[in-house]
Amino acid sequence: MIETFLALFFFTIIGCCLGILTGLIPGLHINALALLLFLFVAQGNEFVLAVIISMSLVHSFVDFIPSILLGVPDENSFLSILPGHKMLLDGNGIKAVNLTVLGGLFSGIFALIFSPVFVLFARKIFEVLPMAIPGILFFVIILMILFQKNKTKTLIVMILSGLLGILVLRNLTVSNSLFPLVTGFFGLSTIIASINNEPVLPKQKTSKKLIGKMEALESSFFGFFSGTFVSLLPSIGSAQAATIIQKLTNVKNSEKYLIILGGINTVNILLSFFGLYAIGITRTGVAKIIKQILFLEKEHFILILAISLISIAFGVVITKKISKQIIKIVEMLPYKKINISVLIFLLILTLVFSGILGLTILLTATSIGFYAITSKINRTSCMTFLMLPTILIYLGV
Amino acid sequence: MLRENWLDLIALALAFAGMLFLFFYANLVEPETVKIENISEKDLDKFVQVQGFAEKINIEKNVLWFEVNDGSKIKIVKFNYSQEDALKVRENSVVKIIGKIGLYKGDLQIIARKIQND
Repeated sequence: MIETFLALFFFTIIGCCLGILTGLIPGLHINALALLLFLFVAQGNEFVLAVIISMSLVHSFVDFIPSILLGVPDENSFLSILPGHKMLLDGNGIKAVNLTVLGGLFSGIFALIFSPVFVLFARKIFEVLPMAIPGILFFVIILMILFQKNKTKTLIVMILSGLLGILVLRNLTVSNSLFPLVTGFFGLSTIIASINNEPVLPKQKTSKKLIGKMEALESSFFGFFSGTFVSLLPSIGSAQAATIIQKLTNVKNSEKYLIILGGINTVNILLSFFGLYAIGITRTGVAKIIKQILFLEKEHFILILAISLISIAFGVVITKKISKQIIKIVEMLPYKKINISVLIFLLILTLVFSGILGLTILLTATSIGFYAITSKINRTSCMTFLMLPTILIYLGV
Repeated sequence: MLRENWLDLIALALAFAGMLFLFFYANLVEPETVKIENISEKDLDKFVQVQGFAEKINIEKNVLWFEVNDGSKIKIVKFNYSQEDALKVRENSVVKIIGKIGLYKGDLQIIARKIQND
């Protein structure tokens, strides 16, 4: 018994360490590592389950670090670049990362408390919810236009982004097509605007105070709520859920928004494992791989719960520590040079993962994103690149 | 106002709770050894550990099945067995089986989770 306990704990820690790597290194995806594990292990292996779950959960915390501190987007955390970069330039970069950690932690706790109910009602939710999605997304698009001062330019950005998304995601065969899109809209456009403005990174503050308790709980609850939907619905990712909840709750405060984003990211991956346990649905790549490795039985609920608790704890502590170290390095170097280096790195990464076509998509998305910045349009308007294709999927077009 | 170091304290509490659940799980899936004659239908879905001689070994595509004899006999089934499992189960070798009690065509059997040689 002690042997089994120690072995499971050891493999959980291994997974946590792998999650640090996948979270920090752009292009190194948890799905890829999980697939590698799958190819080399025997069936029915709970130790691999421990590695995959812990890696995924720690990744959900750590991947905000490159997004916020360096402007390097991840397909789940790219929306954090917008408020995160703003806070970084205000000297609150560490606070921005800590807010996403808070979101992941509190929303994760809500999700774990809710998990037995989720397991019981997952099938019902899964059957009913898809009918409402096109309507919700369409409503959110209308809100996005109405809340903007310059409605004409907002509409232009939304149409161009939507058309690009439909073209790339539904019509073109490009490997890793999401990467050049998110990088262009939210990463490269931010970096170019930043270089253009000759930024100087102020000394980052180490304030111990984060946010009010009620605001933290409220935002974490929204993160948990949205993350639950993402974990059940195909074609709805963290970014779309964050946009929906932001518009429906009219959250303008960057701090609350970062908590929500942190919450959605963690809850999505966490409940995808419970969704697999409850009704066999595989909403994430790692859940698909777990399904191949192990048939989840009743007692595995306790194992998933145990690994999740340990991994979330690890993710919280390690993300805070790593972000402080990275900020020290970033502060020592000239910020403009960092921006240029990141820009070149993103161009190379796009070329490697998506080829020349990917580079073309990147430059197009960057142009649209940059136009939004210079026109003072809220860049979440570019989210139609995902929302319009999603509406079409749910309408069966 | 929520302070940054509170996150570490909450994380510590979560880690402790996680270790407890992990310990509980390990205890659940690694039970005490029982005599086969004491296993009945009321023990369905419970985890047990039995020890005895391996007999009537059969290997099919993904299934290894055999009987364990400790004075009484019960069928053992291992799905998706590994090479290592097949090597451990030899005719008349002493094996220790940890698994869940199930019912198949009216007969009790143990769906093996772990096979060890004694």
